[in-house]
Order: sequence, then structure tokens, then C-alpha cells
Amino acid sequence: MSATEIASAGKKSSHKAKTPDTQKRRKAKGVGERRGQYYFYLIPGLVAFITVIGGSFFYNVYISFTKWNGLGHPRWVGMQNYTKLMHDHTFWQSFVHAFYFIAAMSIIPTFLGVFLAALLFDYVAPRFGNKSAAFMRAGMYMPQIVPLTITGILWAWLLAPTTGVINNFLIKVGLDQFALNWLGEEKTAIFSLSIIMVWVQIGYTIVIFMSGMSRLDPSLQEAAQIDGASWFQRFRVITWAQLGPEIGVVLLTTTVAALKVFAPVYVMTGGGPGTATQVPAFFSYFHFFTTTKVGYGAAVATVLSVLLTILAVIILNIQNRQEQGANKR
Amino acid sequence: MRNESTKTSKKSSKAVKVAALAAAAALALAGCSKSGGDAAATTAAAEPTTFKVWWYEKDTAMASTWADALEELKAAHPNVTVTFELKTWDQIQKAGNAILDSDQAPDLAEWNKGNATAGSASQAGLLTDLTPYAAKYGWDTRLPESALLYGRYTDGLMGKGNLYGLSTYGEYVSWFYNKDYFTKNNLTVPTTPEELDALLATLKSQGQTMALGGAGYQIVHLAYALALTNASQQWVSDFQFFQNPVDFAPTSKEWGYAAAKIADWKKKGYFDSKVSGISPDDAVAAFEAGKNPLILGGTWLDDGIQKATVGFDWGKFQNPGALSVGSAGNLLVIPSRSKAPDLAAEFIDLVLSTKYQNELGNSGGLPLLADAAALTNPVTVKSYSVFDSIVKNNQLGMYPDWPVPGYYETQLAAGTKLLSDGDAAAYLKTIGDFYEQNKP
Repeated sequence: MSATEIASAGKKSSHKAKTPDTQKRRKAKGVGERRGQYYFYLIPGLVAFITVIGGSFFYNVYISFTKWNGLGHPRWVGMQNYTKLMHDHTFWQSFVHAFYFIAAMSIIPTFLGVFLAALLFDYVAPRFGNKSAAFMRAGMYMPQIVPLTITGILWAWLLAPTTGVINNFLIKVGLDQFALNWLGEEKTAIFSLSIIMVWVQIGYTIVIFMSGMSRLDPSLQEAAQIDGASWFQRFRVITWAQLGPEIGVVLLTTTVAALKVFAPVYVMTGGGPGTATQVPAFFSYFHFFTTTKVGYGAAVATVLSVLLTILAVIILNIQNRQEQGANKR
Repeated sequence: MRNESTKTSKKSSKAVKVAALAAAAALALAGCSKSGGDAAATTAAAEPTTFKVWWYEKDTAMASTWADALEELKAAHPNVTVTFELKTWDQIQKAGNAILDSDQAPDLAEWNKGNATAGSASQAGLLTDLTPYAAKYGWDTRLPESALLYGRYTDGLMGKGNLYGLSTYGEYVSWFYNKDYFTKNNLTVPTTPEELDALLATLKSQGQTMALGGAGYQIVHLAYALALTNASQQWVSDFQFFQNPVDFAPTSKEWGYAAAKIADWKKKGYFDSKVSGISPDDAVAAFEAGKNPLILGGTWLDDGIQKATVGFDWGKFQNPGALSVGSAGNLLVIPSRSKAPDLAAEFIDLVLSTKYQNELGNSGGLPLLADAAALTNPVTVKSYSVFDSIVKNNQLGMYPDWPVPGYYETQLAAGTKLLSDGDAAAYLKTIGDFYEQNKP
């Protein structure tokens, strides 16, 4: 889902940008007459899209209108699954939890990421050398390399209430009251998962923002510095403002990732205790594969896809408008 | 044994499922490739020349015992060519019934108990009704009804009706206790629910609690063990086979009692204060390290606890109450297309003989009909005496997640929450609603 949106977004913007250019080239080289030939090259991508994304998506939509246990023939039930979904308390609760994950996987890592990236780029690199900055960046990127399921198992060990390193450390230093039952209580479970996801996501945002910063014109920074601007003023006015496109991309991809978060919930809490960490993707999975109410699971997946698409379009529009605004200036 | 797929972590089961799908497809293809030789089936007469056997036990007590029994069968019938093929549980689960409908069907097989497998096979007429053999060999009198019912199906539903398969081993959930701790503190094994409460209170006064993995399967089993405290076999049939409505009200003496008891124990501090976050593995490790003197666990923990427990002696006692969590194992069946049904029945009887039941016990399995005096394996000796009493008294109460798909996950999430907030009413509503909404 996210990949297609980004791809189509990329196509859209590059198409707009290059239209006059390509037309000129086409006329000059007389490619227009032979344009049909190029459709041939679209076939592999088209086949992949239809089989992997398009076909599956429409089949999923079809299944969502049926009652099916995965064996035999699906039975058409119309809107029944959707009607039921509208009244399913757990489903709506899972969407509320999705917003916790948007905060933990998108908003906090984006802001923290810009800040840390600027710190590494403007402060650590000049003072301690590029090598130390690169080392720190790599260190912070590590959680992205480790598969999420392994991350989940490791954190479950760290957070184990009686045997975990974190609680044992807290008790050793006398902070017994902070040695909580991290994943075992309704109040703390989603909070614990959120912190882990910030830790996971921060590396991704830092790497993107640092590469974005290397694209910025250093003379802007230098001029501001000569004029006596403080680091924070430069960060706010120059770095933050100039990183607009990167921030847009990061917000989009991480929000989409947050809405379909699955692995950490699957590995660490199974949606519990009770329904405290239930999220839409896990809820869909549960009905697809565990209760084998495949039609119902498909309905959840369809609603989730529609919401994700709407969200992606909104963010892309905002981003396009920002870019246009920036170009006009 | 096979319920482990629900008890142990769900993580591995997904990978297994993928592998199993591939394996099942291969099995199905193998079934198709040789079809068309139906003539062979009709020429089979009273004198079978071949005997094809399938089972999926591998590196278990059942595997070695059955292999020995098969050798004895071979020796007794030198003119019969015996062929054995090792299958997997998933192959039978996914593609087994389709093979039963082909001329590739074995003459004797281990089959998965349950409505989806043995149930639907019996409904489709793919399994031989063993009732005449049961009468001939006396299986129906030697084995208690609580062990026979896993092979009984009516319209594809387990529990009663004709006998289509036989369980020859079992498993159950009970308390493991630290014998040294009990002796040192003059504690006795409880025999009534009141005595169990008193024991937990004493432990609490000594700064001790039971070990419990509240974040995993152990809370699911504890809740059902408590629900079975006041349950009858009729209630189990109602709950498992939908014979009559099941009451999930707080006043009900099965689930209502269980929920209230757990909430009460939590309030009184009979669990670790962070029990809802503790994994079953950590709880077992705590018992093995001597940190907690008591834990509720299944027979699948027997070997591990025997090997890991150092420095103290351990014992087992049945959860005081009417019934216990547990069941007989998977079935030996004779497919309808079997060309040697008499020989197959002879083999089943051999497996159920005292000789091979004793061997099963001494290899670490749980026999249904062993001679307790002949068991020498120290783990089996501890485990079998409890099991023997459960089986003889018709106390097997099955597992709580069998009735409807997804029930294990629902009971786990609700149980963990119950341990965390002590809200018995919310627990009963969650598991009751899920049951009502998903039952057939």
C-alpha cells in the first residue's frame, strides 16, 4: 500500500516537473510515432502489480462481502460484515490505539529525528569529526536492521516484570516504585509498546534527515552564523524550513507504517491484556487466521486500506501544496 | 500431545503451518499421481499380503513403542509385507481426509482427534466403525468412557456415537510441588478446594506464592482447572459439544467460580504482584530454581522439570475438584478402504496390551492401561499415579480452547486482564460472549 502510494506520488510529481522537458525531447527525436513500443516495457511491472497488489486487493474486497471459513465456497452476505464492524467495540478501540502508534512511530520520531540529526550534523560532526557522527548515526540506525519480531522478543525479555534487566536495575538503584509490570497491565502496555516503537523508528528518521541536511546549502548556515543567529534560531529557520520535503516523506511513510503495525503487538502482547494493545492489522489477522472468519477479517483489511489511502492522499496534497508554495517564493 | 500447538508459543506455529501447507500439497500430489489402480482394492481377500501403516509420532514414547509393537506383528504374520510411512500432524490435519478417499489410503493410521479431522472423515464414511472390534477385544470395557469419547463421533461431532478411533495414551494438567519445601514447613498436599485455599494462604504467610505464567497459556489452564472444580462430565459435554447451553454468569459454579477464585486469589496476594506480565517459561524456571514451591502445569513439562530441577525433590498432585484439565491422545483408526482391517485391529489391541502400555510408560509417555507396579521410569512413576486416578475416576475434562476457533487467544487476553485488574465480571462477559457468538 505505502509503496504504491509513494511510487504513484513520485510518478505524479516527476511527471508534472518533466512534462515540458520530455515533450521537447520527444519532438526533437521523433519518438512520438514509436511511443507504442514503450508499452511493452510496462508489462512486467503491470503483471507484478495486478498479481501482487491489484488482484489481491479486489479479491479481498470480494471476500469482505462473504461469509467464509477459508474452506469450501464463500457465501455472499452483502454488507453484513461491515454492519457488524460498525458495532464492534474492539475494532474501534483498535483504531484509537492506532493513534498512539502514529504518535510513537511517526510524530515523535520525526521531531526527535530532525533535532538529533541537526545535533549530529551541526554539532557532533564539526567538533568530534565525521567519523564519530557516522558511528552514532549507525548506532541509532541499528534497531531498523534487526527484524521487528526479534526486537519484540528482546524487549519482552528486558521488560519482564520479575526477571527483566530493566526492573532488576530499577530495584537495585532503589527506584522500586518505577519497576512496573510493563506489558502485563492495561495502563502501561500500550505505553511500553510506544516507547519501543520510538526507539525503533528514530534511526530511520535520522538517516533521512541527515542526508537531507547534506543537500542544504552551507552558505545559508554560515551567513546566519555571521549575523549572530543562535544554533536554535538557525535550526528553526533554516534546517527545519529547508527539510520540508524530507519531513513530508517521513511523516507519510511512518504514519502508514503506524496504521498497519503488527509485529510488535503479535510478538509482545497478542493485543492484550484484554484489548489494551489491539490494533487494526492484528485484529484483521486474528479473524483471518485464528477465528477463521475470513470475510470479517477481509472487511477489516478493506476498511484499513481505504483509510490508509485517504490519509496518504491528504498528506501528499499538503506536501505538494508546500512544495508549490516554496517554488513560488 | 498435539494440543501443544495452542499451548506453546504461537510464533512457531505459523512457520510450521507454511511448511505444512507445502508438505500437504506434496502429499496430495503423491495421492493423485498413482490413482487409477483401483483393481488392487477389489482383489484383496481374507488373506492380506500387505499392511500399510501411517503415524506421525517422531522421537516420542509412542513412536518407539508402536515401532516395537509393529515388529511383533510382523513376526506373528511372516507372510504379510508391512510398510510404514512417517507422516506429520499437519499433513493429516490439512490433506489427510482427501487421501483416505483414494486407493492410497493406509490400512491403519494415527489420526487427529477432533471435529475437523476424524469427525469429518467419519461423517464422509472414510473410517471403519470399530464397535465390533471393541466388543471382540473388550476395548469398550477396558478403557473408561472419558478416554473413548475422543474416538466417538455422531454427524462428525466428537463425544458420542459410533467408535471410529482409539486413544492409546494421554496427558493432563496438575500441580507440581517442591517436596522438600513442603516437608520442611510441614505442609500437606491439599485434597479439597478449601485445603488448596488454606495452602495458598500459608504460603502467603511464609512470603511465598505459586508460580504462574499469567502472560501465557498457564492462566488459560488455571482458569479452566478452577472451572472444572465443580463441573460434571455433562457440563464438559455441554461446553465442548454444545449439548446444552453453558452458563457464564458470575453465579455459575463452573466459570463463575473460576473467575471469582482468581480475582479473590489476586486480592489476597496469592500470586506475584506482577503475575500478568510473567511468561510461562519464566514461571517454570522459577519453580525449577526453587523460588516458588508450587506451579500448575501439564505433563509436557515433566521431562524438563525432571532435568532442570536441581537441589530438591518434586512431586505432583491432582487439582482438587471434580475434574482435571487433560485428555486422551490422538487416535488410531482403520480407514474404510483398509485392505487389512482385522490385522489393523490386532495391532491396536497390541498397542493397548499391558506389555506395550508399560513400555510406553517407561519411555516417558502416559499410558492408559499400564500396570503401575511395572513402571520404573522415575518421571512416569510421579506422573502416572495421578493420571491413573484421573482416568479411572472418569475425570478428564479436556481443554478450554477446543469449542470454538480463536477461543485460546480470547481466553488468554481476558485471563491476563483478569490477573491485572481483578474484574471477574468483565472476564466472564468476554469469554461468554465469544463462546455464544462463535458456537455452531
